[in-house]
Amino acid sequence: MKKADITLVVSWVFAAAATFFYCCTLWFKMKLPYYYPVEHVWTLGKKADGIAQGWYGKGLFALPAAAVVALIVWAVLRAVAEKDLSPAAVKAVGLAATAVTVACMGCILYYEFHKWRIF
Amino acid sequence: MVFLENVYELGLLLHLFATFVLVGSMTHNLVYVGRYLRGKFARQKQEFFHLKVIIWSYLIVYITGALIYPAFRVHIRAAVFDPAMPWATGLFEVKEHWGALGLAVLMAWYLIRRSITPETDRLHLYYGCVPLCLIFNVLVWYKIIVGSWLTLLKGTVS
Repeated sequence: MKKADITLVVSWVFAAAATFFYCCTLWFKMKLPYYYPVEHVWTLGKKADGIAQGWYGKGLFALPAAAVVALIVWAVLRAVAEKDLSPAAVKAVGLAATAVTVACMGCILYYEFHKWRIF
Repeated sequence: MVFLENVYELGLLLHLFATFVLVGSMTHNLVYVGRYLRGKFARQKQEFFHLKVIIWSYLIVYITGALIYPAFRVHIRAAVFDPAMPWATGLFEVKEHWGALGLAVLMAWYLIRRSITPETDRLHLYYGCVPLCLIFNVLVWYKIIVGSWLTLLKGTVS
């Protein structure tokens, strides 16, 4: 497979997986690192009280996890794929990954707007 | 004392100035991408240059935002937004989440763009670079509008 095809697939997998994993951190209440800025401490999982920041932990989980998935896809494509992507396959990869990315961004928006009673 | 709370306003200004550069390069880049969609491929070097400026300015925006976030979280969000304006917290939370996703979208966009020649690899351009460019623009403009609005509501930690 030519380099541009591999880059297209791996890059889109990375972007879509990152949005998907980030979405998962919200919807499945994952036990991630939290920073407590007043106490200056980090904890694994959220404590019952105190001002907490989970944003750092969410990013530190979603982006590396997506990078691992993208690396696996890259290794598989390098080892197995011989033919270049057909035009239909390029379109399918682009459309599917765009749909996943936009849908996960929409889920994040819905989650927060619902939680904070915007709608 | 919360991390960097005594230089919060300075950090916020740096965040803002880097955003100016980001908006300028994003707008230029979007114009060039629009030309690609009309079949005009004369300014590929400039378009790629602006993408590189977008990357560096977004990294600066992201890092300065991450550094001043603790002071914002304690003195603005917990003290003002959460109790009195929870809708503002909702808007802000989406801004932060989408900000993190912006890194992934931007990296994917750059890698695809670097691997192609727009004029000859049009399918990769239309199904790779163009959607990522549009997603990134939506995401950053949401961040800019919400960030500006919330700063008007409460912009300092004092």
